Amino acid sequence: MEIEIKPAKLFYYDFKELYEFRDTLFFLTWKDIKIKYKQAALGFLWAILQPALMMSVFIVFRKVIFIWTGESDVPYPLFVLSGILFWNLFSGAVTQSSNSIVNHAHIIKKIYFPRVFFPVSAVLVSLFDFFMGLIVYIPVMIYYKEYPSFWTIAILPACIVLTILVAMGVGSFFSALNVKYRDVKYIIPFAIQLLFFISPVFYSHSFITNKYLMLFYYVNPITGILELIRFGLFGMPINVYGLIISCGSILLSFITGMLFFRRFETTFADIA
Amino acid sequence: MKPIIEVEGLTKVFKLGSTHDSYLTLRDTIRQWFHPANHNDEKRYVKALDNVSFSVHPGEKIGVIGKNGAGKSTLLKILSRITPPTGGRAILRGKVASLLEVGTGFHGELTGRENIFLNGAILGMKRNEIKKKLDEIVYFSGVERFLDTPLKHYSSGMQVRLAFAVAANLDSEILLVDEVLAVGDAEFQKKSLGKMDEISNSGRTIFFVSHNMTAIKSLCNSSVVLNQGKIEYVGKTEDAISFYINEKTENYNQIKRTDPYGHCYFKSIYVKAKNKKLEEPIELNDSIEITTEIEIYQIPSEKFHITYSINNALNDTLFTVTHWTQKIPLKKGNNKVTCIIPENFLNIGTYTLNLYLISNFETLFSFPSILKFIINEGKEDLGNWFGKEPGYILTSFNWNILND
Repeated sequence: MEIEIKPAKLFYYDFKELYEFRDTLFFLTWKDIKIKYKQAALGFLWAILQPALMMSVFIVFRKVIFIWTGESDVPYPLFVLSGILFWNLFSGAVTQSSNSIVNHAHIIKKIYFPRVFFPVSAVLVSLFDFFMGLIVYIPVMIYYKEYPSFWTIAILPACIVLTILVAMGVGSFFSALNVKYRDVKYIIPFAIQLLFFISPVFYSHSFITNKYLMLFYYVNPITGILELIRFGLFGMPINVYGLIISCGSILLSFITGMLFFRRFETTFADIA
Repeated sequence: MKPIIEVEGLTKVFKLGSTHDSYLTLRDTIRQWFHPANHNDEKRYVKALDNVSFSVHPGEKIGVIGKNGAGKSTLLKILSRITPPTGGRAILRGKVASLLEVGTGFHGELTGRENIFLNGAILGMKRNEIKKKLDEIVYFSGVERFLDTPLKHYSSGMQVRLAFAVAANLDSEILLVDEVLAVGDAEFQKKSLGKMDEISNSGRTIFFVSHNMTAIKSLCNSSVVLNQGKIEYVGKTEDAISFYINEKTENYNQIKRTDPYGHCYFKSIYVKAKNKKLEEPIELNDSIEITTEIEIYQIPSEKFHITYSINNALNDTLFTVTHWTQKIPLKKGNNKVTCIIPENFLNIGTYTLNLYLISNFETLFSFPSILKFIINEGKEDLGNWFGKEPGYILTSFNWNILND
């Protein structure tokens, strides 16, 4: 085994090394999950309670104001829950991963392993929460007799992968930026909140007729992902061009984020 | 045989401003756009490592000595891949374990067992490796009974023992170690130094950075002295330490210090030859005055006194003296405490003075290696032997020779 240490190579991931260190990634993720559920009195219940409460709030909300859900007859609780679960996966992963480098500065200064494991493990923790949250979906699904079809089985993993890709890209980007500019810590929650309302999480965007506004909606990766999962779950209409735009935007954020992270990861130990 | 560590022209440049104000806010950056003048000011560079080259052969134990800021930690961080160099390169031929800290990533909420796995994984161990070594780690740490107790309930000593136990059981051909041994109680330090010795005797290569000369001396056969990012000396550990001690204590023999507890103020501490000026060199046949001018604000106990000890160039203490043996007390207000070392007592060489302030037989605080002084040969009458006798102390014992 020979290691050569040279001035940093930019934009290059050593995949062999990432594989070598896979157990480190596993334990980093395992630690965060363990601590998260150990410290809270209600433990695993939180992962279930949160989407359930969110869903209830929107059900009540809908009694007060009009919420457009498209022309379909999908039960609103299922509609909104599918949105919330994926939204939580995205927002949780982005929030956690964008703080991951700063939060682990003490480790970064003392030991080496691929730095990208920090944002990636934060995303994996959110993925774990997502699967916990799926438990809520089952009773609601049974109640409304909306059983999964073949499409659901095929599309669910695709939606998860797409959400993870975009969350990794955005999260890694901001985690690197956060090291230099601590403003990121304040910007992220605000940006996430804003994005929640301009993403079709609790409503359907099919009322939009303006072409440019529609384009703007699909540039938001969440739109594509939510439309795809609702197509899979409830057979709601899907705009294929829109999906392509969203996928493009997902891929672009993933690549940009990972390259940006790689570009700056060598400076973390010096300035974190 | 190829060297196991090969370092060629390693250089690390830090931009001042990015190291000192460790992070910026967006506001700072925006301000810099509008005030480019300030921006230029911040572009000062510091070379933490300057063209460092050396190589280490398998099984060697290399110590790295140097003042704070000499580049020791930077060198270790580059070899550990924590931070990349700006120039040059290093080749490590073998599996590397780096210990800049013990217990990195430990979490209080997790149990001892869970922390072993977490810490092991962070140090680069595979899951199976940790499982295989678990018994050994637990045995070495001596925390068997608390293995399933959350770490937050451990005493700090137990935490350190557990952390060291994980680190000590890393399998690697090259071990990069920072001053991790400076933790734990005396007994544990002994145990951990023993373990390090065992590791080094098993033929592994150790690269050890420390302020602790005793540890370096006992562990490393050769050492590197770093100063301001450059290698100043490479050689046998004893010679390197002697070189370093001579370098470290600045060539001044007068100094001022404040007592951190506010009992007193050290107006002046100096070493000079009796009947000579401070600037004049001390010679073999001069009596030496070690003087402390001290203003005392408050006397914490009646057994309040000053103790000096003198170390040789290898940092071994030659002797300790105190005015307390003659029951001369310090008084409130100004005191001038002078100890006179007779002429022809200390041999030619370089010595360092350590000063201790003692209250009730406990060291209130100490100034280790506060001053360095050199004793020169002085003038000898023609016909006498010039040069240094071996040893540190000169004597004039009485002899008795019986002849038939």
